[in-house]
Amino acid sequence: MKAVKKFISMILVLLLILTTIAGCGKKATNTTGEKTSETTKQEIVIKHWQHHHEARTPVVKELAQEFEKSHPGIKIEFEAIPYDSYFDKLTTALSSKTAADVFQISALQAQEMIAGGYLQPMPEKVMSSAEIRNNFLDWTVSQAEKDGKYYGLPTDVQTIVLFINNELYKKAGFDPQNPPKDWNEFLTQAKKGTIVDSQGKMQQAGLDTRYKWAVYTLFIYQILNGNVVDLVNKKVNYDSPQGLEAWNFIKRLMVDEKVDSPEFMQGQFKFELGKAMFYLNHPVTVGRIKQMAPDLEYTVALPPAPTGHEQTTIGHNWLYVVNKESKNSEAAWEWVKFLASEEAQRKFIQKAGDLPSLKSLLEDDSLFPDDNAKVIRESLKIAVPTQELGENDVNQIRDEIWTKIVLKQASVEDAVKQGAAAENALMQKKLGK
Amino acid sequence: MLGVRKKLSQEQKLAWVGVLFVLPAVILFVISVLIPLIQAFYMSLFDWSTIREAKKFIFFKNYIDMFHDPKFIKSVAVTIMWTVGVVPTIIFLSLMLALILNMKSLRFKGLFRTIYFVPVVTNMVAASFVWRWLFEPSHGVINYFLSLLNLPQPGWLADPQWALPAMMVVGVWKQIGFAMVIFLAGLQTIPRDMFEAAYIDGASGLTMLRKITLPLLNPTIVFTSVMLVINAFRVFTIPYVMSAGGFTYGEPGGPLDSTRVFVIHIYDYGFRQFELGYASANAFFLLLVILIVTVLQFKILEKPFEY
Amino acid sequence: MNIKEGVYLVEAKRTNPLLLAFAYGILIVGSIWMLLPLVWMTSAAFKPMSEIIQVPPTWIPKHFTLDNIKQVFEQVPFARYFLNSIITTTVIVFSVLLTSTMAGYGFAKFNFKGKRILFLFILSSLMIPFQVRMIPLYQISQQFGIIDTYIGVVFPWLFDAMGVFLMHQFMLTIPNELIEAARIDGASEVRIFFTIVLPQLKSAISTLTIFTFSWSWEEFLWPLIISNSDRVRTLPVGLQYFSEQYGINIHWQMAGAFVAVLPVLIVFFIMQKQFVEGITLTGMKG
Repeated sequence: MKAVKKFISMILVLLLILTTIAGCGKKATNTTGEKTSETTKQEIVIKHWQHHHEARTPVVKELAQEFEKSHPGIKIEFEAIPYDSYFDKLTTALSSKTAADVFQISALQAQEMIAGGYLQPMPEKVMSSAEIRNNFLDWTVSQAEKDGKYYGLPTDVQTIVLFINNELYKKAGFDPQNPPKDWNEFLTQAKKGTIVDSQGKMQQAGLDTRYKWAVYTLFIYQILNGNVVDLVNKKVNYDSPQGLEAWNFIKRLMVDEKVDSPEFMQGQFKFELGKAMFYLNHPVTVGRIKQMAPDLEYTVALPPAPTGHEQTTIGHNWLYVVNKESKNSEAAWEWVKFLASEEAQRKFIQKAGDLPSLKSLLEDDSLFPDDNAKVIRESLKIAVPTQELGENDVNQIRDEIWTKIVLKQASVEDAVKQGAAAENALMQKKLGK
Repeated sequence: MLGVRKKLSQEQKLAWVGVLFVLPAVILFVISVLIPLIQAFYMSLFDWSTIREAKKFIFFKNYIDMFHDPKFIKSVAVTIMWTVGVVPTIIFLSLMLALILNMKSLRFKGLFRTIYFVPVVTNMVAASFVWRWLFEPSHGVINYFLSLLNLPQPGWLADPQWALPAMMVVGVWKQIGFAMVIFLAGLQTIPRDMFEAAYIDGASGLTMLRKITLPLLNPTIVFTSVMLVINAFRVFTIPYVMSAGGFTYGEPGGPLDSTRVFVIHIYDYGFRQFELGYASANAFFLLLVILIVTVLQFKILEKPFEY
Repeated sequence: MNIKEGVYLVEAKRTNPLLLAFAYGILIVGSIWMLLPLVWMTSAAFKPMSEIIQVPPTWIPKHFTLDNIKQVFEQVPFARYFLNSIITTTVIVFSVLLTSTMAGYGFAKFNFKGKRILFLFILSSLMIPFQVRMIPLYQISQQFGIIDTYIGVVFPWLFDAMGVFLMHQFMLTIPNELIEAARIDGASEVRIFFTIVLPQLKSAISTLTIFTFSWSWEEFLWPLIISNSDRVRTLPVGLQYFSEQYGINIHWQMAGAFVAVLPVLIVFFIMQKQFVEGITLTGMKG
């Protein structure tokens, strides 16, 4: 009897819970008016999705409030999504046409998504193409353009810079005020900054290559003066003799001179822990270092250039874009324009450590208070955009080239040719139609 | 005549009762599994990218392409290695654990059971972080002990040969508690008077193990084995988090794809490269394989017993 | 001979002390292996990030801080997520228990046409990675209008093939004579199910409860996709927020994970005590 009573009561509880939930459920669907603005007759609701960042999220929330005040009748529904699953959620929603009005994508995905019919262009009356071209750093909007129209405005602007550990650099006999200017100097210095004990175990890395994307992408763009991807002929250029120079340089760094080892502090933060002299990474690392190693003294420098080339670096950014299915395009685009406006960018810079994409802001010294910041500003000016079509698929191919060279001691030419062939096939598939 | 008819309708009646009992589960299965599966199969017949052009019907081309993809072949190999390494180890260790924890004069049973269950509920990201530095080649605890014993210290997660074994250790760690708890529950269902009778008959401990415990545990062993194999074919989080902590800084498949288990392969194509049609085709291949392996396991392992 | 002193397994008259010592030895070494990550996670929850990444690591925090936990609660409405997790997990556990016991019973103790195939079908739901079902499930949810609702969060999980399978295996161990005797006595099928069958499966039911609780407590991908607001978002989704684009905020992740794991451990500790006592108190079996 007891058992029966217990189970009947369990079932009753379950039913009770289910009905309450059903009740809550119905209520929820009533109040989350998606695109059908039902709260008030005139109110327009713009759904905004972006990947979460502990400093950017509060800034966007603040901007949303400001925007709502200056645009009565428009409400911004903001959702921050964990980065790792951001695209899971985005693509799931896109395939059932329930994605937000405004969301973010990497600039490298823009062309594919435009062609796929997911995005809509900025209407001229909100902001003209000429205005966009004039106001924004060219490389931050070049990937968002198609047939003269712009499909997004930049955010999350990053370049690659060289971080130098002052103490280790000085110990190796160099002066942080005099960073390496070219590849050969860089190699020699990195070698000197590499310390190996009597048993051959690495104790200090000359260059932290944890973020190997930064290393190989930087070098191939530098050696090819930015012409890595040939969209017209649907192929890459890094397997050309010139391109091979970059990969051979990598071989010299990693295999011949061994300035870093994948087994040395694998998966750990070498530079932040003071175990590496050089580090190639985004300026945003400044914020990371502040948290992880607040006492670390370092210098930011422009990356060294190949002999005979001007100093350049690579730039990468994301875009705020508008869903083609959005029923409130104009309002959505006004919101995007606001997010990329001078006022908003100042907030992002000051509170989230971001970088500006507006040319006007580059001249504002107050945004670049110290020497390191000034170098970062310089890097923004000399950056060339990365132009790959796609990220993860392309990175996998190039990561494999790196691994073959570094771990498998493969012939550079073979590894690069195989990778290039794979990437060409990928490009043809994406552009072929 | 009447007697026979009566018997039939009793059987029929019972059959209907059986159907009613399974009905709720079946209905939910249809809604939340079958229909989505059919749709997923439909997707697999298309060249469907969630980021590019609209979909194109390509019939079974995805399936044909699949077998020519070197990453596919590698993923299959990696998954098989994982399964073969992890499942028998877990079964052996957890059975031993369950037997030990069932010993009469052992104290702190509850405490130990909880401890061994901890990995099952530990957040995988947190755990993987720890395991990554435990296995860290230059400063990690494991290599430290190996150096004390003058043994070679492999590069673990950085080395294509050792990355998978390192992750398999974590795979075993994570699931021992799961299997142990099941075996414990199974041991509890063995009626004590069986042992009584055997003891009185003079049977030794080992004989009891062989003739009573293991046969009576058979349904539990079948369950655990089938579940562990299914889990092994579906493993994702451990290789995913340990190879890079997400995809940003590392390759999803580990050095030279040495840890590219099949679900990572599927996820990579479906949600990182946005090729959903192709990923679905791969998923159906996985389904087929698991189905076949499971049926085989049932045939081989299941032994009905007499009470 | 006293039944309570009955022999379980590999023991003779008195437990061989050597065997016992060996057993303890294995258990303790294994325990260290099992607990290492949890201990580190707990210690990391109370350390600043700069100390967490230290190599060699510190086990006892040198710079003990409660900031991580404080900040976690500030950044993410943890209390709300906690409540949501409790609600959704409870519903899922109940539903899975009910459907699994019923279905396991139906498959194990009854015969009807297509039983084997249906059983295999149901089992097949374990063989496809969730990500593949995800998009169609989302579309179904959209059609039913249950996006961003509690029902939306729980509906794919209301039945669990593993539960059906587990219950099925355990039901096999129940002697048919027991059931048939009750039938002859005139008991209804429902009565038999609740009063005869289920009580035999206390340990299996506890086991299924613990498993279902622990994995549904940890599930994050589906709740992430189906929820658009804090209203129904669950705890593990909250934890995901600490993995960002350029790195993981490991200090918050650890603090959050620490808070999140406690209820599960508590539930387990309570439940496992229960099923042990459940058996020893009833004494006789079979």
